[in-house]
Amino acid sequence: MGSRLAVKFWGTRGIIPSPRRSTSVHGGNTSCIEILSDREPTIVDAGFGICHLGETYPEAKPIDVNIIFTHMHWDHIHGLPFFNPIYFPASNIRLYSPLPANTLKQELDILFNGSYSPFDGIENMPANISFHQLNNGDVIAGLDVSFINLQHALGPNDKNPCYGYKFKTADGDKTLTIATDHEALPNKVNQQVLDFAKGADLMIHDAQYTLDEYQTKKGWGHSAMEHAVENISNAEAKLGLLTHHDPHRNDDDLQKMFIKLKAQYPGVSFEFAKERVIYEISHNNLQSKKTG
Amino acid sequence: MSLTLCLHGVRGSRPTDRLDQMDFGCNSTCIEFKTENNFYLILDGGTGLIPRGREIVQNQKSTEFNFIITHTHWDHILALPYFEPLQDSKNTVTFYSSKPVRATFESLFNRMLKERNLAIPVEQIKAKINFKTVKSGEEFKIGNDISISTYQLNHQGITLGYRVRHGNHSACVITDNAPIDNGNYMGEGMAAAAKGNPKAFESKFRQGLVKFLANADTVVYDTHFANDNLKADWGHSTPALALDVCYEARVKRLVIFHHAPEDSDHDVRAKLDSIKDRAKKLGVEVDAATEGKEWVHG
Ligand SMILES: [Zn+2]
Ligand SMILES: [Zn+2]
Ligand SMILES: [Zn+2]
Ligand SMILES: [Zn+2]
Repeated sequence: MGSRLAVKFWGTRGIIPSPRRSTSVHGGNTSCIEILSDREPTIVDAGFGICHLGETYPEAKPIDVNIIFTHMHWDHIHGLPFFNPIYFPASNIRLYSPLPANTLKQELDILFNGSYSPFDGIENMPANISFHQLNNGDVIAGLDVSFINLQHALGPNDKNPCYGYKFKTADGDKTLTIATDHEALPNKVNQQVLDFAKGADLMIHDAQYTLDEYQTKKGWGHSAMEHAVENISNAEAKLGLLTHHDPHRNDDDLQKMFIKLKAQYPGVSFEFAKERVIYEISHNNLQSKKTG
Repeated sequence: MSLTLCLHGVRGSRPTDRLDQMDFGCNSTCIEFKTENNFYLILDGGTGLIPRGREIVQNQKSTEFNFIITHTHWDHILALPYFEPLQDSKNTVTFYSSKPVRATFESLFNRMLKERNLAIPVEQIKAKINFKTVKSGEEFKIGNDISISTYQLNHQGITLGYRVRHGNHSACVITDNAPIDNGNYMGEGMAAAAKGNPKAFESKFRQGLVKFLANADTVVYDTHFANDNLKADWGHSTPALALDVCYEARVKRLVIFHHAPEDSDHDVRAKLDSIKDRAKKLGVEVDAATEGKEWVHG
């Protein structure tokens, strides 16, 4: 048995939300992954998926929650001002990133700027919000957390880091890695990502583009689906979940790609991530169950 | 001459994504005006803009794009940097917007392109971009035969309502806008203007809005709240308030809009039903904003 480790996607979409009937199976919200352990919930990124997660928290009950950020692209932070618990004075919301705590605060403050929103800075939101610089090996909600730099610099001048995360249960029984925004290139960074994810029970990986699309989007910071599956295979992860779906991709497209990729990589276990599905790691055997 | 109003995004505050909201749609504000002209005229850049941008690049009729911006709250502008025509150096995109003291549209748009935040390489934004300031009460032309006028609404900053005239037809968009009664002054400069004689200011604002909308064919109106849950100081209206104004202005059709992100399809239908009978008596046609829906005038 061991301790619990599971994930629930609230946002699987990259770049910008794509809410429509034809995306409703995989979901149209931008990045948000809830990590379920034996302790309080931990959320990776605050794309618009976090709004739907926020709707599940009753106002009457004090909320205790951790949010860890991969990077500051809009699609990973934009939902934060609309996360219901941020309006409840009894909420404790702890925000984490490897960036210095005051940098994290400054970066997120723009979302609450009075020109873009009806708010007046993150400082003035009702919840008790704290900012924390994450160090390798920190324990959050009973899970060991470590991070790594991903290949996600967009353009020649972009020096902004994007982090991948590993979560491990305290008993060392289960591991999960997350690389929502990563361009798999045959380079040192990618090799480090493979080493980092080696043998994970679950590896979440960017797969925004088809191989065709990728030819014109090299350097845009995202992987072709084929390269993502190869990474999952090379890291010998037990299951891969492909995410950061392109906003123009419909459920039908993903279904067709899945069939094609399965035939191409018969030995690799992977799926396209779906919102509101719980992927439970159990006895090195992954079960997914759909919940409402 | 014909003027078509198309709704690409109808949701307020933020995009949402639930199956029980799909009849009306989950994308945030984006409205397009189509005429015989080939150029594009779009109001606001909420997420409804994204599928429209892809459609345009696949069958592009003009390299000229005009955006009229109501205000800079996220739900109205967040998709602008990812509008695919911006990635083509042949295109020219002109933004018309107000100029609040706090920050200009130009500075806020450019801030959205900051490398730390922009989810695509900034070098990919290659179109020529122009910024034009419009004042409340100003009238300007786009092309030879589209005339646009503005009115400052009761909402944070300088939020502009727009009236688009083409031939004998007019379509208006009033979003976002709160009732102004009893000192609920939300727009820049309003509290100062009301000083000394608030009742006169409130009546002038209201009469000005009625005049602005007079005899319009279609008015799309912010009705974020239901008649019984109005929070006036949040900056939005209700279906009943919208109907009052539209009746007084002898508007032919009122379209309730800026559906709250928590509203289900059932809730939106209930909002529409809440004014149906009275609208019928008053002779105003009413409908609820629906993604993908178009109204052709002329
Ligand atoms: Zn992303
Ligand atoms: Zn709005
Ligand atoms: Zn607004
Ligand atoms: Zn990114």
